Amino acid sequence: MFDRLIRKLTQAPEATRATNLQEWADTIPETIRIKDIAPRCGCRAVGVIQKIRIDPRAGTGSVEVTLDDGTGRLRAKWLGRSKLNGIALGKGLEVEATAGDHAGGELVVLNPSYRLMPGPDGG
Amino acid sequence: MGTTAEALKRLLVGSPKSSGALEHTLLPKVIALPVFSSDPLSSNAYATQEALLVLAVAGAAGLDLILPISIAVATLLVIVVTSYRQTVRAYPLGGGAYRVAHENLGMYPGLLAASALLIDYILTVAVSITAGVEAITSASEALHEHRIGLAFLFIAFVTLVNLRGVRESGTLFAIPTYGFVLSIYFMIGTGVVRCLGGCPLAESAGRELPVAAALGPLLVLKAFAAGTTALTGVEAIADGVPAFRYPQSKNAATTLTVMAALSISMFLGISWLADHTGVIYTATPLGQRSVVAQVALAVFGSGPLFYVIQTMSAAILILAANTAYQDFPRLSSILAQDRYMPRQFMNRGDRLVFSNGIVILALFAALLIYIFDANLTRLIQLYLVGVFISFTLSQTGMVVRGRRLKPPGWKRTAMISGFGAFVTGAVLIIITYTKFLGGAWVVIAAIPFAIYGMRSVNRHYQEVGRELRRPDRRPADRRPGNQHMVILADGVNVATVRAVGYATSVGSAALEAVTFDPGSADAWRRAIPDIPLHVMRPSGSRTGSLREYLRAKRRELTSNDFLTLVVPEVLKSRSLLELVKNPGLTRLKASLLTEPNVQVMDLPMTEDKGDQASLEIHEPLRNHVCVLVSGVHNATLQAMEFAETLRPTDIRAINFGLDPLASERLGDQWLEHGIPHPLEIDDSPFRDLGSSLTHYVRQFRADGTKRVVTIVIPEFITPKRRHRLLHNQTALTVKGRMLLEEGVVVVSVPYHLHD
Repeated sequence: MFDRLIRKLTQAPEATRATNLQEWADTIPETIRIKDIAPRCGCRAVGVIQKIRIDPRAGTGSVEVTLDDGTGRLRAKWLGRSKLNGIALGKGLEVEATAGDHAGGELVVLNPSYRLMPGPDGG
Repeated sequence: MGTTAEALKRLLVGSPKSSGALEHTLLPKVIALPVFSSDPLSSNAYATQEALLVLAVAGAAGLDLILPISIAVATLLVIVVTSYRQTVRAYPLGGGAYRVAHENLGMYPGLLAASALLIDYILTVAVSITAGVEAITSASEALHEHRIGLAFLFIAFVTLVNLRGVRESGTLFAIPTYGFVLSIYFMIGTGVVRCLGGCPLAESAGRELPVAAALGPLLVLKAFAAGTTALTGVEAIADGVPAFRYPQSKNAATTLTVMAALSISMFLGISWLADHTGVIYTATPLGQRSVVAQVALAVFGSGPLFYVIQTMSAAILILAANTAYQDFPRLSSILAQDRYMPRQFMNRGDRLVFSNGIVILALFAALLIYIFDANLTRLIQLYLVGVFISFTLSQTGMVVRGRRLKPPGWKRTAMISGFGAFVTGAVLIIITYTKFLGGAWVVIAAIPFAIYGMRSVNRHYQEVGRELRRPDRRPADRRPGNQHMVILADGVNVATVRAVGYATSVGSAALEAVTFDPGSADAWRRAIPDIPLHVMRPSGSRTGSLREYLRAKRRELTSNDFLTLVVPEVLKSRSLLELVKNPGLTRLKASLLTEPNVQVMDLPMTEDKGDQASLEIHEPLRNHVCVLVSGVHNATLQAMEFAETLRPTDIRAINFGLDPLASERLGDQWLEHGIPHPLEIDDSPFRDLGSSLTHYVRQFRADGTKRVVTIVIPEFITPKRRHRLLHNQTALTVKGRMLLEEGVVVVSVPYHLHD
């Protein structure tokens, strides 16, 4: 019994966070978890914004948002623009597009349609 | 950090919380009441006692005045609470005296309120803990000698609980607070019933009481001033509005009213019982039972109920310190946001609490208890001045606000606040007058220093801000970008060879090496004939001669060029201890940081890797450059330009979202300035820059020969050494962590601020 208590008290925070994210993602209807996305399927996924990459270089401007739903990560990339209004770390984002493949371990979707929503913590 | 230490920390403080979890730490009213009211409620445990202590000087005739004085104090409490209910409504973001005074009366009144409050919060901890210890020694007198040790123990306990976070401590504090309220009500109820058939007498009743002074108006004022202790802590609720659940203002106002009702009834009840049981409390002898203890003993006898009252008093007093633990860190974070205190006070720790503020508060309180020998009567003399300064300023601020904004019904509210300000101002004069020599002067003397300190911190931050945005010192948009590098070599070894490879790949306009070791010159010329070696004969200090050399070099270059000193370093193992083992080199790097227009680049490698590597020179094939940014300003721009001169595979700027507000603006600023490189804003959910960066850097799988990662850190260098504590804390963290990563090169690009 003490074993469980001590494990709970000293559990790695990353694991706790992943569980919380997954629980949150499960509450959003008609989305699937990132680890279940098959290459080239038309899928709708959801995740919390973990990273934003703005690339303002002329001609190739792009915005890339990395989503995390506790099961894996997905990179949504919009080409030809360097701004996506309303995005901020910690917010939730739903994206729908045909997925690429798992090149380099992370799934990439290009120019998906998207919907902003409050993140798991209401952010 | 080792995993054992990490696990121990988690056990004590709890597992780190992700930033977004903040919402979950908002308090419902049932929990907010004990969290914010343990201070005002607990002062009932000693307010009557302090008033009686003053009155006892005038003998039995004086003691009769306790009830009228208590009623006067209760009236004052009603006035202040009525006035503060309006402040809470007007300032839903937390209307502490600081904010109200700063916004309506100006900077100096604001800082006056802030420093009065900060000092008072420290005193709250010291006084409450001391009073709690006294409640324990009242029940068990053998512990009297160990009171300082006990006090430290309790401070440590409360500090730890608070480092765990708001919500948890809220639940923990609810039990003793409600327990105290119920047990005191039970005592008052039982006492009143027993009094119907003739009151029981306290142990001290009827004691010989010599008349030492006549019962004059001064004495009455003094007793009144002592009794106003019951008012402390009203401020806490006004300050803490953002910690309430929605609707925040309404909940806070309700909590204020409930708190006042509880406090007044308990205070009057205790005073009434103390009067009717004939309690006498005098300055000597030491080790008397406290007034509440005497009343409890008279009402309940020495049975278990007496011990319940004592336990509850001790518990609530020790936890009352918690109110200050809520407010001191919050106020200091607000002050840090307004740039009146060092930015470190803004950082939320592992558990989303302002850890730095908590620790500082604990240290100061412990120091005070030690200096005043845990003597409640002496400590309490210092108390209250700050409370009443802040009451007066805050209510005056509300009057000014009313006249300025003229919200509907402002005349009525301004009248209430004005009356409140007048009354608390008068009490402030009384308190200062009666307590000045007793110790209040310490506080009054400390306030100007605190104001001066905050003012100069603010002035400094403002100057830095201006300096960083000055257009005339903005780095030219496209520099010719000539990079000149000087390698500091100590012989030919794997580390220097790696440095040569790196520097060659940069293709510097000029590349040379210096050494202090004449013996290695021949080996160098054989192994690396292309790079000229300059042998220095250290006249005086190494740092000094190296500095001279670099200055001479610098003079030959145009202001657009970069001059970089490359320091290869062999570390014996991957441990931070290594950095301490070579103090000469560490000092040298630190002192060159202050040298204008010279960058210092660190190329560390560990010895175990070194054995396998050959002495062949490899230019790295890939060099990923990451510039750490916190905002877009001259220092960042300069660092970006430095990065460009390294001829890297790619350049990116990274930010770890440690300051959410700044990160949100960062993207827009980046685009506005048209910086032609990608910016990455990566969430560090546990606000731990060191491990987030380590994680980030490892994705490149750098090995040091084929693939390297260069971390560029813009640093501000202030002309005055004492100001440096206010900056560059991140730079230190990063350097410490990154030196131990394989294949990582760390460069500081200092930006010198002018006076």
